[in-house]
Amino acid sequence: MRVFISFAHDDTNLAAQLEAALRRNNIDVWSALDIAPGEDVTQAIDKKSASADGYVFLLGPGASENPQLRAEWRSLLRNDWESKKPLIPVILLHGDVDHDLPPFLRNRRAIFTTNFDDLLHEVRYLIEHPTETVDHTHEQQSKAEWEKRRNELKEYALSLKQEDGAGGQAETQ
Amino acid sequence: MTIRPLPAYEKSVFINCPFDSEYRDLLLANVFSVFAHGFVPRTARETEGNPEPRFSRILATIAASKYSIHDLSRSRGEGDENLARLNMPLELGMAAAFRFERENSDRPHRWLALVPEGYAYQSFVSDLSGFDPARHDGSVSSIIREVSAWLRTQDDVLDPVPSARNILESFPSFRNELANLRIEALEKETWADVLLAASKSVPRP
Repeated sequence: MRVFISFAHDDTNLAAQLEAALRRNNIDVWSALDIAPGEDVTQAIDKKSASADGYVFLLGPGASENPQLRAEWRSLLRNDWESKKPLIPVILLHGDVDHDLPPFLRNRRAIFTTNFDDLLHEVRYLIEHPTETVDHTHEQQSKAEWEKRRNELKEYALSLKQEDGAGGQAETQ
Repeated sequence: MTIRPLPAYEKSVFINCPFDSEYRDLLLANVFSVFAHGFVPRTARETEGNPEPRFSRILATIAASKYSIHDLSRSRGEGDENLARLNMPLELGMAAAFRFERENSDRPHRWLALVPEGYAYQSFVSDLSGFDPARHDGSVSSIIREVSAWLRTQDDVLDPVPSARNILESFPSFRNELANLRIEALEKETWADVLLAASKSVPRP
C-alpha cells in the first residue's frame, strides 16, 4: 500500500519522523517533504495523492482553518473519486485544546496520542486493516441523517412546485 | 395561502453559472452534486416570476446561503461582438463581500470559484490568485469531482456522502427524470422540477 502523509508546516518534524519509521517498516510512503527543489508543489501533491492507496492526516490545533492544508485536502479528496481509500486522522495533542475533525473525517476512527511508538503502531495497524478505519456507528447515524435531509429537500421541491408562479420563464445568466 | 419555509442558511448553496442550453449539463452537474451532499441548491431561477428586480433577488438568495459556487469559465468574449457575460463575476463579487463582511460572525459565507483548466484565470481575474479556485475541463465529471471535493471539506456536510463516482454514474438518471418531468409539464421546466428530479435519482451514500 502506498501511503500519503498530509501535515501542516508546524508538524514537519513529526511528519519526517513518521515517514522514516513507516519506511523502516517497509511501507511505501510519500509526503510533501519529498518534493524536489523547484518542483511544482501543487502538481506533485496532486500526482502523488492520485497514486496513493491511503491517506494519513496529522491534525494539530487549527488544522481546519489552515488554507494550505485545506487546499491539500481538496486535492486528496479529488483523487479519492470512489471514496474507497482509507483515511486515517491522527489528532496531535497539544495541551488542552479542543480538536474538531475535518468534516470528511468525522466517520473515521481517529488516533489520539502523544507517544510516538503508540502512534506508529496504530497507524501501521490501520494501514494493514483499512476496513477498521471507519467508525461504523457514526457512519450509520450519518446515513440516517442524509436520508432525512433528502426527504426534506424533496418536501421543499414539492412546496416550490405548488407555489403559484414557480414556473416562470427561464432566465438567462 | 401557505407560506413555503425557506431552506436553512447552513444547508443552502447558491449556484452562479450560465443557464443557457450549451452549459446546461454543467449547471445540472453542479445542482446534482450539491443535492447529493445534502445541501439545497439555490439559484436565481427559484424566484422566477417574483416582481423584484433580478439583482435584488440574487443578492437576497446569496445572503440567505452559507455557501456559493461560481463558474467563471464562460466569462469570455462571445458572439460577433466578442462580448463577455459579466453576471457571474458580479455575483462572485457579492459573495466575496459577504465572506469579508461576515468573517467571524455567526453567519459566515464560503465560496468556491470554478475556472477553466490551466492558469488562464490569472490573466482575466488575477485577484483570484491565492483563493485556490477549482479548475475544470468543461466536462460533467470534472464539475462533479471539483464540487464534491470542496463540499466534503465544508462544516455542514455529512460524512459519508455518495462518492463522486456514484454521483456521476447516477447523473444520466437525473437527466432522464428531468426530461420526463419536462414532458409532463409541456416543456415548461421549473426549478422545482430540477430539484424533484434530483431527489428521485440521487444515489445513497
